[in-house]
Amino acid sequence: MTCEWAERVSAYFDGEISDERKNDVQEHLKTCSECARYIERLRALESLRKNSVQEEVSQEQWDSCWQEIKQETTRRILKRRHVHFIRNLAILGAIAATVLIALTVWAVFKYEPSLQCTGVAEIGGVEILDYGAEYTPMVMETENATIIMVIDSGEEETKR
Amino acid sequence: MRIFFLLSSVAVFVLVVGFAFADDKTVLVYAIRGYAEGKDFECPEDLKALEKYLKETGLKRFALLNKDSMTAQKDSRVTMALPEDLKAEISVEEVAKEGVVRVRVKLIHETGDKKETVLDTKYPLKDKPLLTNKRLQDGVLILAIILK
Repeated sequence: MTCEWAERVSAYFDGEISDERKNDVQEHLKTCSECARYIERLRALESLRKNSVQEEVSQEQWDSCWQEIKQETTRRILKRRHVHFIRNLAILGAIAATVLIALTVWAVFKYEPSLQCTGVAEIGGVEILDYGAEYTPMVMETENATIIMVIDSGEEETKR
Repeated sequence: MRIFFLLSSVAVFVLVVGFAFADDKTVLVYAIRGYAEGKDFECPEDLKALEKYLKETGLKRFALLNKDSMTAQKDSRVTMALPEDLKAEISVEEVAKEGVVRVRVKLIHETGDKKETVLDTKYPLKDKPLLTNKRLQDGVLILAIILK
């Protein structure tokens, strides 16, 4: 609104001006199209306000509405928690599975070494790696045991 | 999720089976003093379990000097002090899935700082025990290594 009569037009509409001024405003409204449109809009709004229906909301309806809101909120929170729980469970499960697989692989490899003979296979599988200069090892295999006799050189000489 | 649970179940199953098969055995080490003198073969009560092996030595009487054991696992080790400055070091070199345990037996003569290897040997221990005999000033030392 650019017209300086706007405030007076508004007061006229609300019935807040004297009878003398009412005439002035009415005269002005005949000549000012902007104020005429303005007062028309005010009348239209007033008409809308008067025609609008306001229904009273009962306490039961409020309770029911709140109940629905609470239920929906709880459902959404539970759903989110459920999703988080499943995700955490999946992560933990994946870690556990990885550890189990690693342990299994470790256990399998640990108990599957190749029994390699690193030297000359002698009687009963005995492998003499070293012996003292004064000793002579002799290996015997019997029905129940494998026996290594460590013979002192002096002992041998005595035997001779 | 299904694949994850399936994989977990398979992993648990394999692990359980693996540990079931990985039942550790024990390596028993006996240090015995034997004597050739005597009329008949005599085996004391504490060596009854070794009677049939001791008979193979040709000796007549026996006395337990020391006894120890270790799990049949790689790097298990037993060290045993023996008479006449002797020392035995028995270690597990490797364990094969067929139940064979390869042990290393070292018999060392230690006098002060001087160390002399009397015998250093490896033996695949399974059904037959290893008996290492060495003459002592008093009798014969028998180092019996058995897999249980």
